[in-house]
Amino acid sequence: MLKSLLIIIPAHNEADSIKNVICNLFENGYSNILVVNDASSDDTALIAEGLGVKVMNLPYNLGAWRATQAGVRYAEEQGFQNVITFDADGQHLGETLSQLIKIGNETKADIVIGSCTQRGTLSRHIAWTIFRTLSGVGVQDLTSGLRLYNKAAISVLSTKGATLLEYQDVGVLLLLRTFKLLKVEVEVPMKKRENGKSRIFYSWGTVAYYMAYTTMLCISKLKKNKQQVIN
Amino acid sequence: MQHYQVFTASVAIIFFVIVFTLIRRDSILMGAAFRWFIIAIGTLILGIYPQLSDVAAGALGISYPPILPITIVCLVLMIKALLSDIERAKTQVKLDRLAQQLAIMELKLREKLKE
Repeated sequence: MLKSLLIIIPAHNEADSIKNVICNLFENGYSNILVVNDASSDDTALIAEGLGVKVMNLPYNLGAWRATQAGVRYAEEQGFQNVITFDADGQHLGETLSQLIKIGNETKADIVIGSCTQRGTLSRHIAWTIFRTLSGVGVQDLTSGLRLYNKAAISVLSTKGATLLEYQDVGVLLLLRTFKLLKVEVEVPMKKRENGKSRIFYSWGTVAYYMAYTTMLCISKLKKNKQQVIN
Repeated sequence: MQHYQVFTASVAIIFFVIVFTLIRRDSILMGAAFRWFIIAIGTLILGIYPQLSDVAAGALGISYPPILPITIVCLVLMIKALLSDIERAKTQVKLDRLAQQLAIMELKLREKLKE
């Protein structure tokens, strides 16, 4: 187990699954959990508080990535050495975290991505292939929310530049590449979503927006350097 | 004075008075107020002497003079819209980071109270 590890779970109306997700983490020996309640209108925060984990309540809906970033910024302020981002919809399994931590320790990577390339439909795989080629980040599962970040990655992700991003996927990976952080990917099993839909792959409209947005992001961030981000 | 000049001059004067009143009431931020003031003066001059655009168009080799002020205005408006979007992005980032900070502080406070 890693020293001072915080597990960040961004949650927006996940009352049906949050209990199982947290209990699953408890069963696997992880107790330092922060649920970032992204202005849920259901009992997500109450359930999480009832289970004794930290709950951060955002005053209004910031979206999955900015909610995660709120947790990352908290981790930075509190001096955590590592954070793991974990989905609240029951897709990720607590059992797989030890794999991520082990790989992180062995490779000394700044980011370890838990990827599951078996999941997703054909259209999602086509999207991944396009963005992998366009962005050149070389990650198989671009949209995976299961990631381990170390101190260096935490400080990059806490910056203002990262607040501008919409999703925790290509944009974040491009930002981390700009800062020359080392990333590795590890294949892990994932469950099918217990309920709810992906926030990205929600409807044809959101998919079209996501595709266009990410394409633009990939093209506009070509050959960007560190200095340009800081300024 | 041509007959149509009465119309263009009235429009320009009304616009100038509106901008001037808004600046007087501090309804516009200082930097933006100055830009609007310059635009209002430009409009006023062009409204009273619309022939100026004929002269300028002649010098630039434009065969249809009225299009010159329209093109310039379109360009200015587009730049203005772009600047507004940049400003909005900055404000949004500030607001979102404030919201995050507020949530962090609230969590810390609750933790402190628990201790």
